[in-house]
Amino acid sequence: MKRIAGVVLLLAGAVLTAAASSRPLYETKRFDSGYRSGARLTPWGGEYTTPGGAVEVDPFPILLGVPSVVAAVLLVLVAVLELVSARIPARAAPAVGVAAVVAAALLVGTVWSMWQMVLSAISREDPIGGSAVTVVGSGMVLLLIAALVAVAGALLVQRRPEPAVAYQVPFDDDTDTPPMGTPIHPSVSTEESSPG
Amino acid sequence: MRFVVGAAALGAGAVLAAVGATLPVFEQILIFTPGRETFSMTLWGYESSIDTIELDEGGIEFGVPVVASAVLLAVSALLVLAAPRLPVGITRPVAVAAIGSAAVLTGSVWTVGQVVLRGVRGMGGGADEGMETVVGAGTGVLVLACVVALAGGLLVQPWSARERAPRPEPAGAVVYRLPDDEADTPTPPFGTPAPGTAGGGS
Repeated sequence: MKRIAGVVLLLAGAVLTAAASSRPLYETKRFDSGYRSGARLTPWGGEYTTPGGAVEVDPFPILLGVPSVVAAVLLVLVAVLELVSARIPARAAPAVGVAAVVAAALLVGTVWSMWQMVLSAISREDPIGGSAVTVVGSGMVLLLIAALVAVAGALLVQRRPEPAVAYQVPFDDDTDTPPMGTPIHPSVSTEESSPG
Repeated sequence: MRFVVGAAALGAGAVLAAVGATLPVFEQILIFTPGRETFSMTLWGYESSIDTIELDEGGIEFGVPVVASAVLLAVSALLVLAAPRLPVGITRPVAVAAIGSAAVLTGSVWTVGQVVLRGVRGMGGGADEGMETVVGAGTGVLVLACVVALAGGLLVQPWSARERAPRPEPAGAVVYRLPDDEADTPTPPFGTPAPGTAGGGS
């Protein structure tokens, strides 16, 4: 049950990341003597709305979305592997848990860096002293939720070690002599060992 | 031994990330007749080699997640080294923290890398146009930090079943199971007869 919840959260993190990719990280709106202009930054570049209403796209966009999309693909991959974990070899099982942490933490790192960009944008003074207002965009909010959800999912799919473990004491001839001496009956092959 | 090497790699990744956070990741050199001016982007904003211009560009502090993950890497390296003296249950959380902070570092450095890529592609120009754009030393150091930290994070994972389920803490009476692959005859009800005596007599 915990495992299924983890898989659902991993997938939800991937879906939220994908949903955020066309939405703005931050938006700036400016009202200058009756004219409206604006700018917004999405994970795939910047867009500027001129006072005339035309939208101009940054010709050399910052492709911030690349690492987050890679993280989302990894999250889906890990969720699928976790679902079929009964059919993959037992030796590969710990790799799924490690991959889940890598995917979620990769998303955290890239979302955190994007947040630093948004933080800088919303705290920046308007360079020309105008009426520009910068707000956090819906894409940034979705990405922050996606990162939290993915981390929760990655922690939920971590496997606890199996509690019932029997350890065998390696049999060698180095055991203490019992108090009554070593029996020499041929059928006796094992000796009691006193606990440490 | 694998854990010691892994902890060393985690520590090295933390140091490289901290060093990379102080170096410029991207530089633009403006060449004009009396001299030149270098604008550098570090993880804490923009700097000019001629300190007269107030840069109102708005410094983006990309260094915050990088330094935070470097600190986490250093802490997990220390915890991996101290693991034999710590409670058994801490091994797995420390391993998760190690690979997790390496991946956070990778995610944030990758994002900075996207910004650097844009700078190199978009502001190119070339020396003949009086402007030169170069990737700074910080980028290389940070990428190296990610590779080293990820390697360390993978090395300190408890991959085998024995490492995943470590020997439990001794509590109460310890019961050892002896090997039963040899002749496993149950002890007779009256004990094993001593050699040289009639069987079963007392």
